[in-house]
Amino acid sequence: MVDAGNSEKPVFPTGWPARCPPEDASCAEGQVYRITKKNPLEPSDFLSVREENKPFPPDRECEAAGLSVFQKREDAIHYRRKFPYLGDRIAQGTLTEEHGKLKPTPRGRNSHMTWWPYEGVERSKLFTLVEEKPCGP
Amino acid sequence: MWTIEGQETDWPKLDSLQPGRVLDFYDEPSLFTVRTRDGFDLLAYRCGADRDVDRFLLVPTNEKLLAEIEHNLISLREALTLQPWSWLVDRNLDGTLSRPLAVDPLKLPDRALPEEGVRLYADTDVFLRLRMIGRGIEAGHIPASVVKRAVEGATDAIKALVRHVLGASAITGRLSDVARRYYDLPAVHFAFRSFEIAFGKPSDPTELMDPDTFDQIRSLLVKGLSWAELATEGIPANPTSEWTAIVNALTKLAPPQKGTVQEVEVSGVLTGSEYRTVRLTRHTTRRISEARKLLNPDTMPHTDTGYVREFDKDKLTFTLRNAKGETLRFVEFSEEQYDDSLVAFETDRIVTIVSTETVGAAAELVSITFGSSLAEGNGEDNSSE
Repeated sequence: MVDAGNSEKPVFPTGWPARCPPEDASCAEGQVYRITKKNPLEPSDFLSVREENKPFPPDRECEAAGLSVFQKREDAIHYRRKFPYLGDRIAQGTLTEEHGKLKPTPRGRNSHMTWWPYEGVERSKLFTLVEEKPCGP
Repeated sequence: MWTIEGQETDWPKLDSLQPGRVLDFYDEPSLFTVRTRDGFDLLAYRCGADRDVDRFLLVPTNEKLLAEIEHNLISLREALTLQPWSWLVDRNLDGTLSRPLAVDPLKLPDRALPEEGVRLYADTDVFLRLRMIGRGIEAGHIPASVVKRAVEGATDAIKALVRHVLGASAITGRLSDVARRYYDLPAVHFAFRSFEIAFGKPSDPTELMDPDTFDQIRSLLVKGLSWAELATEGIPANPTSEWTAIVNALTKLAPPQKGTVQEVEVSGVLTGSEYRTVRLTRHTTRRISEARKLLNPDTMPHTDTGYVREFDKDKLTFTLRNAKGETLRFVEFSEEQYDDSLVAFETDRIVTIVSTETVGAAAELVSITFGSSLAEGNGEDNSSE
């Protein structure tokens, strides 16, 4: 657990590729949204591809260590519509510099960002569910 | 994970799902191209995942299809279900792939495909898109009535809202040049798999829209579409005048009770969000019909026969009189009706018009048909109330 009062500098998990997050990533700040499956939220809703031990392209090692989030709720909803398997719920979280690094990685002109959380950040506790997709036709 | 009937095949021959061109990304590439060992390009769409396996739908692709997807000219679901057969492959944690399963993509579970109408990017440049859905509407077989309904539906719907926002007089006469900016939008895209037309911003940069007016029009349409999405509710108990405009607009957009068009998808910036798609069905049409009865219980069309007098080219109005010179109806007409109305005026031919009441002094011309000439006819007044 990252303690704001602790003078120990937060670090990223070991084993990440060199220069990851990239140098142009900024301190995490602001409200973000992520598609989730569980209610209540679980840590599994906030695992990176790397943490899930899933294969990823060798040229995307750093992205695989991060998590997709959006600055705009509508963008998260749009992705939920494009990829329904991702989940029926949208969670909102407020990130600060204690929670890692953030970089805009838009597709088209959307608000997609990649979040690289520090080691020990309890990610699911930073978020609350704000929307559940209605079931049925 | 879900299962589906299919046939295991030895093709496509893939060693891995190494992405070529990545079209979309969420935590990892989620829509991308892959190349088979024998050099064929496929589009891979991540359609399912659990702890041990990621599942991908593979469909044949080419540059044309990729360009259509990336330029928002085709919905993702349509792009993935174009072919009668596609393949599913599962990717294991160690990167190995299952043997491909040939499947009918239309038989995939609903959650394994993108939602209807959603495109790769948000429709920020499209003001209004209508997609007409129905049996018999398919590439190469689009009845002209469907095309007409799509074009007129969009135009007339916005016109109904503009009339409310700018006032009834703004639609008629030369003032209509201002109003036309809002409803005579340029068509920026047609698609013929179902039938779809998209309207964008005015192409002439001098034809600027007043932001406040645009917002008011959008607000009315958003309110109407939000009501339309509800399954059962009627309009508010004491509807304000805007509901007449809203219901009139929805009437133009919703599918008819009978005919080829069974559903209409409405999307675009005017729906309130570039991400939103609202589906109007025949059930919606029935609700709209009920709402119209509540809002206009006494409105009946008028039918009159007479002669067009006092034709005003600027205000697009004329006065219909009988042979005795008695005024039957003061009428406003649209630019599309200008030619017929002018011919009636210039030739003194007897005409039969159908018109409806409006909030203004003039009735709105619905139709004008020619009867016998003044020299031949009696100029009877056949108006009905």
